[in-house]
Amino acid sequence: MQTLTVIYRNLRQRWLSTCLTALSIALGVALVTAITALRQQARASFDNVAASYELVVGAKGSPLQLVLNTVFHLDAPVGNIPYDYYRKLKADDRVAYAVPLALGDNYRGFRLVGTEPEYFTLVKLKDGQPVAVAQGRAFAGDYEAVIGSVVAREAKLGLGQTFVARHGVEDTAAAEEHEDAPFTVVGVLRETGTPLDRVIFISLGSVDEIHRDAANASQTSQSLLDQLNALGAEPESPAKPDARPDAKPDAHGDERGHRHGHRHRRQEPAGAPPEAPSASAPSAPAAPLSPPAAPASEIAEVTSVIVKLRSPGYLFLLHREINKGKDAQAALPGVEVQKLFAIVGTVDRALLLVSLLVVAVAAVSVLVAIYNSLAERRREVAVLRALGARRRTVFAWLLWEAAVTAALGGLVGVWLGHALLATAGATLKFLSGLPLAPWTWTRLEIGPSWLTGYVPFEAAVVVGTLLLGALMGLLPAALAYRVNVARHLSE
Amino acid sequence: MLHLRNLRLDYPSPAGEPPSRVLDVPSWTVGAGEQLALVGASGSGKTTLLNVIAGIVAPDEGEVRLDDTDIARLDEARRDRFRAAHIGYVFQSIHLLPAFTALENVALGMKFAANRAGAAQAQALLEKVGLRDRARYFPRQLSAGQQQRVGIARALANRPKLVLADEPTSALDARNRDAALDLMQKLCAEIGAALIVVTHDDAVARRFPTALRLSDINRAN
Repeated sequence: MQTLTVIYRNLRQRWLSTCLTALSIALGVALVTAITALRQQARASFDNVAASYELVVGAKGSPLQLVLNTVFHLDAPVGNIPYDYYRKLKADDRVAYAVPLALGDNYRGFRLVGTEPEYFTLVKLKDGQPVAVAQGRAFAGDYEAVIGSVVAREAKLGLGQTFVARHGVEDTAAAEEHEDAPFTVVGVLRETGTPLDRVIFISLGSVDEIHRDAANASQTSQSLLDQLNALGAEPESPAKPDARPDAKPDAHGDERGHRHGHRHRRQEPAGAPPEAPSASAPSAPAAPLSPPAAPASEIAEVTSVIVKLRSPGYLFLLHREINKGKDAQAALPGVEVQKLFAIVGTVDRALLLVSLLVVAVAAVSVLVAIYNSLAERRREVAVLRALGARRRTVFAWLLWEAAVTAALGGLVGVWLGHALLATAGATLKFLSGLPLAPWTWTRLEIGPSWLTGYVPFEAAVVVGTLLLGALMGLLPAALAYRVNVARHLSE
Repeated sequence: MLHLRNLRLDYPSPAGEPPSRVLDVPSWTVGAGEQLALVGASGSGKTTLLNVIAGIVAPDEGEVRLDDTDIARLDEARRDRFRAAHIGYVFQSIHLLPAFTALENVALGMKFAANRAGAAQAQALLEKVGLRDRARYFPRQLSAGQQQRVGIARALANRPKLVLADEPTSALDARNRDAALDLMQKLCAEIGAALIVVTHDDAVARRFPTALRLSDINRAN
C-alpha cells in the first residue's frame, strides 16, 4: 500500500475536520492570491497603457490627475489650456506630433472626448499598432462619433446609429441631455484592451458646438422669462436658475475642463436625418456614412494634449520647460503610474498583511485539528507500531497529513482567488476599461531570480502551504512519535 | 524456536519504594509450530509477557530469542522491522484501523514488513478466513466476529514464525469465539507458525493441547 493511500484514507476518515481546516486555509490563500494577481495585472495594464504615451500636457494642477484623465479617461479633468498653446506645441520642432483632447459629455457613462482624426493614426499603442478605426471611418464633421469597442458592445451602438449625449463626464440622472444634438456613429475602434475601448471620440468642433447649443437654448428660455416678467405674468414653470450660461456650478457636474460656448449654430452632418431622435437610446441606422463638410475646428480651449517627441532626448527637456511656464504642466504617464501604485501600494500591503494573518490563523487550525484527532488516534498509532510501523513512519504520516491538508487548502485557495478575480474582472473591466486575465499565472515577486523566473506565485503558494502545514504538524507528529504502545494497546 | 532466558522486567514504583517486578522468567521454550494457551488472572502480566516477546516492550534483563535473533538486544527500529516480518499479533480489542478497508488492514501489516506480495496475498488471506466478499468493507461495516477474522488474517499476512494472541476472543460470543480459535489454530498450523494465546478463560485454554499457567513460568507472581 502506498503512503499516499494511507494519508488519503486517514484524511477521508476525518473528512469534515479535513474539509473545514482546508477551507479555512483556502479562504486566506484566496485573498492573498486575488490581491497579488489583481495588483500585478492592474499594474501591468496601467504600465502598458502608460507606455503608449510619452508626454501629456494640460492645465496646472495634479499631474497624476492629468494622466488619469488624459490617458486612462478616469477622474475629473484638471482644467483647460488655451488652444493656441496646443498650436504652439504642435509647431515646436522637437515635437513629432501633438494631439489635443477636449473632454466632452457622456453617453450612458461612456465619455465623449473631442480630438482630431489623426489621433487614430498617430497614437500607437503598446502593440506598436495605431488606435485605428476597425469599422467605418474616422469622424469628418461635427456630430459624428467614433466609438470604442466596449461602447459598441455595451451600449449596443452600431454604424449609422445615433445617440444623444448627457452633459458632464459622469452619467447622472440630474445631467441634462443634449436632445437637439444627436451624434451619429461613423466608426468603431479596434479592440485595444485599454481604456480607449470605453471612449466615444468626437471632433473638437462637436464639443464646442454641443455646448453652444445647450447654452443658447438656456439663454432663449431666460429671454422669454424676462419678457413674461416684464409683462407681469407668472411663468407656468420657473426656469432653472442654474440654466443660465453664467451660472456655475450647474447640473452638469464637474465643469472643470468642460467647455461652454454660446452660439446658436449646429452643423448638420451631411445626409443626417432631418429630425434626429431625441431619446437617449440609440436609433436604428439611418444616416449614410459619407464624410460631411470639414468640421469647425477653431475652438478656444482644449483639456489636454498628447505629445510625442522626435527624440527621447527632448523628453525631460520639454517636460522641464513646460513645467517652468505658467500656462500649463507636462506629466510623464509612466512616472505618474509609478506614483499611483506607490500610493495604492500602502493599502495593498495592508490588505496582503491581513490576508497573510488569515492564512497564519488557518494554519494554526491545522495544528489544532490534528492535535485534537490525536487523542482518539493514539490507539491507532499504537496498533500501527505493534504491526511493525517504525516511530519515524508514524511521525512522517502525521506530518504529511497536516501538510496535505494545508496544501489542499492552498490549491483550493488559489483556484478560489482566481475565481474571485474572474467574478470581479468583468466589473473592473467595465469600470476601467483595463482587461483582467483571471486564469493566468501570477508572477512570484519574492525570492532569488532563479526561483522567481521559473516558479509562478500559485505554485509557490501551494508549496508554501504544504510546508506551513508540515510545520504545524510537527507537534502532533512528535506526540505520535512518543506514543506508549503497550499502554494504548491495552486501553 | 522461541526461547526466553533470565527474563526480568520491573515497573517503576513511587519514589523511595523498590521497583515492582512484573516478569521473572528463568527459562521458557516454545517449539516451532507449537500451539499453547497461557492462562492467568487479570493483571498477572500475561499481556506484558506478550509485549516483551513481540519486542514492543524491552526487558530489563535476559534474552528473548526467536530462532537465532535475540529480540531484546535489537535497537527499537530493528525490533519493529523484526516484529513486522516474523511475529503476528492478534489483539484483545481487535483494533482494526477504521480508515482502512478489510483488505487494506491486512495489506498494511505487509507494508511494514516490506512484503511486496501486495493485495493479491491479502485477498487470498481474506478468502481463507471466509471474508472474500467483505474485502472492501470498512471495519464499521463488519460484525465483531468478522472483524476478528480480519484481525487474524492481518496477523498472518507475512507468514510469521510466531503468532501472539492477547485474549483474542474476549469480545466475541461463544459461537464466534470457537470459530475464531479454530481458524487461528488451523491457519497457524498451515504455515507452521507457533501460536501463544493468553487468556483468563479456561474454556479457551481447554481447546489447546498445551495450557500453562503464567505462574508456571513467571516467578514474579
